[in-house]
Amino acid sequence: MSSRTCAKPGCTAMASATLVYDYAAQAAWVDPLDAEPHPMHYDLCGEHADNLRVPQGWTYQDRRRPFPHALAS
Amino acid sequence: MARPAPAAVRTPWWGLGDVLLGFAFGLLGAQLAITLILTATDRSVDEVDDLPLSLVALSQLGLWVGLFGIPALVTRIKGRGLVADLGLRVRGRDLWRGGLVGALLQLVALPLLYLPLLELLDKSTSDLEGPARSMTDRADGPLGVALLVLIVGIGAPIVEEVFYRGLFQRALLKRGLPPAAAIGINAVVFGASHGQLLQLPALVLFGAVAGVLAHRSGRLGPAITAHVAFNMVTVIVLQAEL
Repeated sequence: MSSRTCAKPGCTAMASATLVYDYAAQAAWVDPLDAEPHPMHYDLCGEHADNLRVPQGWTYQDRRRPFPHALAS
Repeated sequence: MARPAPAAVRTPWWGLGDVLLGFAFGLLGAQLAITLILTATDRSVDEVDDLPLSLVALSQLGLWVGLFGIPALVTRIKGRGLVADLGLRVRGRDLWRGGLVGALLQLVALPLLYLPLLELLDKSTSDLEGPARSMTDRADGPLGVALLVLIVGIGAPIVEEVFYRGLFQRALLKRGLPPAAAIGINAVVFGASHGQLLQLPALVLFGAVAGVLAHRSGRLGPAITAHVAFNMVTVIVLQAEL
């Protein structure tokens, strides 16, 4: 399991999603957690990714998979 | 003229004690392998989750010595071998029947089970996928993907089905437990042995279905192919970022 924690100040939960934004295009989106940390991306826990709000006028996309998958191994 | 006496059929005498032995050797083997790997590569215990896939494969071998080696050994010494005692056989029709069941479990049953459950627990699909992703993310390049398929798509399904649906489930049945109880207990232990709380319902569900497949067919083929399909759907989805 990843040892990265949520970037939200004060939150110590494990990160499970990554927030990416394009300031010029006024667009933000949440992806499944990046394989590697990226200096311009923000790792978020599930709760903070779910409750994310973007500034007025921005577009927002939740690109995490809607259906869960698991491994039996 | 007197008929020749029928050849004596050897009754297998392995049981739950051998299951415990398999667990113990598996845990010991895994621990020993991890310790050797960390020492040899000068890593600390905190870095276990960051081991490359090739070293994960080596650590799996330690676990598989117990989970596969013990059933192979005890059925040879105390019975008639893996094929006769545990039903380690795969028929052509197992490929599509088991494969279909495994894929449907992953693609249909899991969403039905988890969409309300994740809502209730205030968790996301990413939280559930964490352990799977930590494996698939380590597969770099074609060799990494081949190793990943070897571990979770071939090795784990064969080894785990031989141990859980083969030795363990049959040992419970030999003890006189009704099939439903044997399958249920086996599924819960199978799920719990993975040590992942959020994934527990999925693993128990898979264990129960694999238990039914193995019990009804009398062989491990359908459970193994279901296990392969269940894991490979996840590997493909996470690798291809579908």
